[in-house]
Amino acid sequence: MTKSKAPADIVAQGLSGYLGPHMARTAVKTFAAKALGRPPEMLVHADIEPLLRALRPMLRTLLGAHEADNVIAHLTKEAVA
Amino acid sequence: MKYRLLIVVPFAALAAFLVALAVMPDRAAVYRVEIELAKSAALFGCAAAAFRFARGDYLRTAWLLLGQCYLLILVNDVFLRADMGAFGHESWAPVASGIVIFVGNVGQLVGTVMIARVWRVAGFELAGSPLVRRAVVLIAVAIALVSAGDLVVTSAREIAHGQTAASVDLFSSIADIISFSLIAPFLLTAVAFRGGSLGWTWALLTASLFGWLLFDATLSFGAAISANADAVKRVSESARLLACGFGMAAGVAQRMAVRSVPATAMAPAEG
Repeated sequence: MTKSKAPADIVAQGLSGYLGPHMARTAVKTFAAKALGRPPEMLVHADIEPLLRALRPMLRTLLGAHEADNVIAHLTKEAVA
Repeated sequence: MKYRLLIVVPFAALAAFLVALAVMPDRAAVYRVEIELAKSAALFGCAAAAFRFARGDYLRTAWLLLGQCYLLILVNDVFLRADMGAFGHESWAPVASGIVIFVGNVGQLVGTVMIARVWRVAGFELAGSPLVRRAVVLIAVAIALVSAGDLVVTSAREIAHGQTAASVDLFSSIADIISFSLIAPFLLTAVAFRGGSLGWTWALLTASLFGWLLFDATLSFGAAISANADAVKRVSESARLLACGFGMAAGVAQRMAVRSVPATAMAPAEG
C-alpha cells in the first residue's frame, strides 16, 4: 500500500502531523534539493534514508534529538514496509 | 480538540478573576493571588515544555530561560519585594531585587529570541513573501515602540533625576520592546506550521506576547485614557493574566507536540 506512494509524499505525510502539510512539503522540497540535488517528484525509495538524514538537524531543533530519531526511525520503517 | 482547550484555559482564568473581583470585598488580596497564580502557571508551562526535551536540545534551553524569569520574579515577590517580601524591609533588598529582576529579564529576552529564531536554526523559510515578512516585522516593531516606548522614556527620566533603581525598569522596558518586536517571527512561524501540532505552540506564544504588549500599553497609557485607577488596574491585570495563561498553554502545547508516539507522526494534528 505504502509502496505505491511517492517517496516524497511518504516523508511529507509523516512530518505533517508536526509541521503542518504546507511546511512538511516545503521541508521535503528544500532538503531534497539541498541533500540530493533533485526535486521531490524525482526521488526514489532509496532516497528516503538520505533525505531523512538531511532533515534530522531540523527535526532535532524542533522536536529534540530523541523524538527526531523516533520520527526518522518510524518513517524509515514505514518506507520499507 | 485538546489543543483548542488550551485556548479556553486563559479565558476561563480571566472570567474567574473578574468574578472574584466582583464578589470579593478585598480587591487587593484578589490582585495579589491573581498575580502570583498567573506567574506560577506560566512557570509550570515553561517547565512542562523544557523537561519534555533532553539536555542539549535547543528548545529545552529556550524554555528553561523563559521559565527562570518567572521563577526569579516569584522569588523576588516572596523574599525581596518592598511591600510584601520576607526580607523586603532590609536595606540590601532593593539592590538584590534589582539584580534578580535584571537576571530574569536577560534570560527571558534570550529565551524569547531563541524561540523566535527557531526557523533560522532549523533551516526553513518563514511563511509569506519577503515583502509581506518585512511588513509584518515593521508593524510589530512600530506596535512595540508605541506600547513600551513611553516606559523607556519615563525610566530614563527617573535615572536622569538620580533614581538609579529605575535602571532595572529601563532595561525591562527595552527588553519588552525587543520581545514585542519578535511577535513578527512568532506569528510567521505559527502560520508556517499551520495544521501541525507545532503551530499551536507558536500561536499561543504569539497570544502571550500580545498579552504582555497590552499589559505594557495599559501601564503607559492607562492613566491618560481613564481617570479610574481601579479600571486601569483591572485591565492591566487582565492582560497579565492572559499573557501568563497563554504562556502556560504554549508550554503545555509544546510538551504535547513533542511526544514519543511514532504513530502520531503519520496523522494530522488534532484541532
